[in-house]
Amino acid sequence: MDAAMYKALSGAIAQSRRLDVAAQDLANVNTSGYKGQRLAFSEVLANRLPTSERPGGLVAVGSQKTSLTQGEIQTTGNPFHLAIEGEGFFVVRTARGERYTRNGSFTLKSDGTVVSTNGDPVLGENGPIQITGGKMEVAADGSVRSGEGEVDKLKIVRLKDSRQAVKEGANLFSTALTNVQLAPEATVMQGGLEQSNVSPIDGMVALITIQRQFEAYQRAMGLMDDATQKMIAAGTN
Amino acid sequence: MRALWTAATGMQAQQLTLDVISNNLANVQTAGFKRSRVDFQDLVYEMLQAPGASSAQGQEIPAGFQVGHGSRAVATQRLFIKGDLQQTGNSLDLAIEGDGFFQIQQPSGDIAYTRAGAFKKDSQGRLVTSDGFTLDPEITLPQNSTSVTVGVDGTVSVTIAGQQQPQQVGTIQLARFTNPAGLQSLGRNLFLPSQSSGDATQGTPGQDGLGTLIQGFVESSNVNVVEEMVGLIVTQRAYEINSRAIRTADEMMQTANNLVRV
Repeated sequence: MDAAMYKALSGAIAQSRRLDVAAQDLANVNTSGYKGQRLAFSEVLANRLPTSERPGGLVAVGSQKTSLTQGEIQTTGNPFHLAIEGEGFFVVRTARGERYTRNGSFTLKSDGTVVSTNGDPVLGENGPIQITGGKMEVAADGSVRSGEGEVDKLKIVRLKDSRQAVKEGANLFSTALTNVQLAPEATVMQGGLEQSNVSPIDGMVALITIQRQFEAYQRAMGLMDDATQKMIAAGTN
Repeated sequence: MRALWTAATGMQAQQLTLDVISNNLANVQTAGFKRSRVDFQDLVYEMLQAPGASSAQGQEIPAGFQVGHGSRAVATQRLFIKGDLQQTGNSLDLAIEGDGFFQIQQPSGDIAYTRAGAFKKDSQGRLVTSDGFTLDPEITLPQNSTSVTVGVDGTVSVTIAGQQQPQQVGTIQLARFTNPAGLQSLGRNLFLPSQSSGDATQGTPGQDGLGTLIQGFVESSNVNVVEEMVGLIVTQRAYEINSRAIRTADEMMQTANNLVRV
């Protein structure tokens, strides 16, 4: 009896976790370069109990995956807006080390360094990119030209295992250095930004299913409670 | 239930987008106006389970579990896409075809920059903006001049009554920036340089990548009504869906409350 109650409870908790993740995605439907998240649930066993008494059927968050599908590219006409078509990440140098992002909304610092909106330098293959001479042109292969000629090539990397990507906020991802490899074949588009890949429709459907499943678990718990109550009543009569 | 607060940040973000779209739409007829957009970022994440950590059985968890806290606006950026050129026939209306800004002397003495080239003549014959701020370098038209011609390279010449030869009275200079999106908006169609715009590079129209001047035209606002309307729809729907997430969270809490029947 108790075991069944806890199974339903674990299901309800899992649904509230799903809601937290869905709300995060929906809050970021208009965040450039944002990548939605998926949760996978798995059955867990209560390890502390002897094998014969393990209830089974308890549900918990097994893993979470960032969905790295391409977002739509919206043209903005700003030369400092860059978007990657296909796989790859821009690399920025933060105080905590190199971080990876799909949000190519960059700007310029007073000394000519190309920086992210947080002020972190965007890296080329030879370090931070310096623009002198009035303009910046980025070719499809990521090579950057300023008014005074070729400057550098944007450093674009790929993650060997995208499941190891950790979101840090501010559109940044971090991962172990061993998980990173250069992606020289990536295509860069200048004058556009990649939109969030979260679909509001999927989000709406998710909200409805989460709520209904949560209710179902609640009903199940209520019914079990009723049954227990009746049993107690039968015993006392 | 984090979802409540997360969705609230989403709603705030959409409200800000609406403010910016409204400002764009209010300036759909403002000559030289450049539309803005808002830049968003996701907020910090809480790590509930680190990827690569060991699970109890001594096996590695392939992917972690992180829950975020919503989104926030980080910047508004002007988009310096060219506006349509509109013919006015007024000889003091100037449009820049290409890159560059007119330099305007503010009363404080500082130079501000604008794309709005609807100039007027003040009592002393100087070319001024609608607010009376003079063009820099100053161009003065003689009192007895009958017509004004502005060349593509910015040369201003006038015909004086009783004289056959046109007389050159000055040259309009333009300025450009490496990153115009980094300019600071001042209102009155004026922009100020900032740390991220880079310093102004002055020059003659048509040279060093600067645009050329066209007399008798003004550059209209680059706000595209259709695009803004689509923006409004997207913003409203995003606002609705975030409010829906709040409702879902609320109703789930209500459901949880109903577990205990009194």
